[in-house]
Amino acid sequence: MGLEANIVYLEEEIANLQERIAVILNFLQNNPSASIYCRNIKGKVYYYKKYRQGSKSVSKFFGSSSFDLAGALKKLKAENEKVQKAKEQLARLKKEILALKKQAKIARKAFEHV
Amino acid sequence: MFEFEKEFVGLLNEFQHKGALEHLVLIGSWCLVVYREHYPIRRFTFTTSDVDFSIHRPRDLRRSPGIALQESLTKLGYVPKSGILSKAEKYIPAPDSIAKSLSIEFLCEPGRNVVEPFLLPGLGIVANPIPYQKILLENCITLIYRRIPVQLPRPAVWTIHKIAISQLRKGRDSELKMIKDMENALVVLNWLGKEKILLETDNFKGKFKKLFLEGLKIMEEKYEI
Repeated sequence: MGLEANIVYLEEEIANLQERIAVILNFLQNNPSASIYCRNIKGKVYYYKKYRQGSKSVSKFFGSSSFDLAGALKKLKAENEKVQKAKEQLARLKKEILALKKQAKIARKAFEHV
Repeated sequence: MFEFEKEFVGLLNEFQHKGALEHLVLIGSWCLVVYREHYPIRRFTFTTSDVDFSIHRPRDLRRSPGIALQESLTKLGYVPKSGILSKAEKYIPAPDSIAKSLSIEFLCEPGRNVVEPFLLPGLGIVANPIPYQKILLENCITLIYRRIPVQLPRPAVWTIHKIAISQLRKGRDSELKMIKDMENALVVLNWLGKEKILLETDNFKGKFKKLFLEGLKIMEEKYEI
């Protein structure tokens, strides 16, 4: 592969990774990690979902005593696992993009030098 | 083994299972991977994670229900991503899918009223009209790749198309992109020989042939073919 093709490949890959990072960031913004907590008020149990929205901590009412806690916890666990995977993916892609940018810079320098 | 090959085979498998492969023609650089399984082309450095498919007769797929290709792609771990300015759509790995790296795009031949990307209810995906797809679609062969029958253009036509479209590259680094196209085309050209390619060119005329000849001239100077 010539230098020119290598530069195009690296630039295309960088653009692809940037697109993927944007999608992941958007996903993380719309799906923050959450937890469920309960409050006992005058003998009645109330369940809330707690998550962060930017710098704010948000509590959303989930249900009272008749609420299916086991089902909700299972669903939340699956959602949190997805979020965790997305975070891992984001960290990996950020590393990858840095490496590609470095390679692209070297390739471009070499191309201009030739 | 090429990079992302396992993922590519998984994709083809799913498309075959859904019966979508009979409507799709593999185009773009991934054709080289399939050609290499059948023809004595030399080793090459494979450099793309974009898989392009062209759609055969998209008009036939305007009605739903058809093949839920979008569902299949979502199941495999891809999500649709639209362009900021255009309606064009491509499938990229989902945020939580760790083992995926490919991006998939569906193209078709533009028509009298088909200029903008449009939704194909028969496949559930958005097709992006790009010129000169017809040439590839009309010159198809079926090759078996990892036990999957894949439709793709004849190598000579694929090469001619690659050389011609190298002249249509626009924007930043257009010259570098042109060279990348030419290097890909050179892999098949070195195997088939210039004479065979030129003989095949007689089947084409007009602007496409002009583009090809312009590209070939540059290649002759650059690679001394």
